[in-house]
Amino acid sequence: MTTGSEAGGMTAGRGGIVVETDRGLAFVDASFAQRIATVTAIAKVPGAVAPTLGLAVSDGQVVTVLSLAAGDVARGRQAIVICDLSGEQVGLAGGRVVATGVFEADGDGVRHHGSTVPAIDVRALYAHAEAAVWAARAERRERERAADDGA
Amino acid sequence: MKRRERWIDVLRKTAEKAPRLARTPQPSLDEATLWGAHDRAVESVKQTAESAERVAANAARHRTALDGGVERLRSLGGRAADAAAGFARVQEAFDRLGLVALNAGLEGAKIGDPAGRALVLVADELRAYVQRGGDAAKELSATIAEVSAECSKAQAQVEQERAAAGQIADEAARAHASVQAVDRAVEEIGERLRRVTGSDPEVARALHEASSHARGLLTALSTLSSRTQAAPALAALRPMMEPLAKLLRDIDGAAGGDDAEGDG
Repeated sequence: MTTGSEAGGMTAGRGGIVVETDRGLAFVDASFAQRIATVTAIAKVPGAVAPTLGLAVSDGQVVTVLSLAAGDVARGRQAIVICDLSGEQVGLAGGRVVATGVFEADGDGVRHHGSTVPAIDVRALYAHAEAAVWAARAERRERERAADDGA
Repeated sequence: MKRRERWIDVLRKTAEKAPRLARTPQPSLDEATLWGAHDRAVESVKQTAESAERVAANAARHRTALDGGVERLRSLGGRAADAAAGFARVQEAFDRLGLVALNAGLEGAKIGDPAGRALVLVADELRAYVQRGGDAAKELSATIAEVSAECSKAQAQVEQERAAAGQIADEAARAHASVQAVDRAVEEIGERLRRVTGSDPEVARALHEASSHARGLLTALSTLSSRTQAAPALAALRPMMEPLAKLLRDIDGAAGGDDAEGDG
């Protein structure tokens, strides 16, 4: 884990979290990130498709957990980033938090240890997850209808 | 007839006549030799039994010492396991502390400059210490795991040694039992020898001893007589040989008289 607070002045930087995933480093802006919390398990939800992993309980609240990784993510005890999307609590799993603090802004992302780290648009990721769930549901209904017609 | 053979002949005749002196069956020279061998066997059996007892006692002591070693290693292994569990808790505490530091850094970033700056810096410093502490705890935990593994190996080895010591003790006990059986057999041989020959063991032993000494005397005298300067040496021996010769004559004479009495 490396330290954050790499910006020369805090006003010139972006506060947030740098996460390491199997895709590489990613930045979660502090405007989304609320806290880093440990959850004991991520429960599977029927009908959930990637990037939705399932549901978890954090501080007594149920949060939808999205995956930042391209591959499989363990569902056991782990630290996830809890984000707030206009009152909706969303967890980001599948990454290891390597730094928090204020980082030097670099385009859409930040600089971390000399590299550019792209920022994750959590709102877009959540929208993509919802769209994927609805698309899967529509596809399933289509299959069921086709099966009924065939019968 | 050579001188040595003449001496042996004298001794044999003496031995043959001796029974009549005591009016009881007296041992021949062969019987005397047999009794001598019997005595040596008895003595060897006794020594072997003592050795077997000592080996058994030493093996038992060794086994007891190894029992203590096994117990201590077991206790050490248990303590190592406790220490490993303790370090796991320390590691977990460092993990939580690290999470707290990350969250503190995030909060500092949210607050912004200048109020949040101190929080971010303290969070960074805390995370650095947590990192170092966590790494040290991991290393210590790994070292304890190695010590625990070595303890287990040492315990297995000592237990093998303990089993070997137990086998030695068992073998020693079996050897002791065998020796006791040999002792009984030798005793029985002695009893049967006494019954078959009817001879007195004490007389036979004395005769065996006398014949051994006589053989030694004869060998020495034969060596002396073969040398050119033997005469002065033999002259020096004469005062000591005279009583021996007289004793033999007396025994011979008494045996002759006894023969006469027996004949009469």
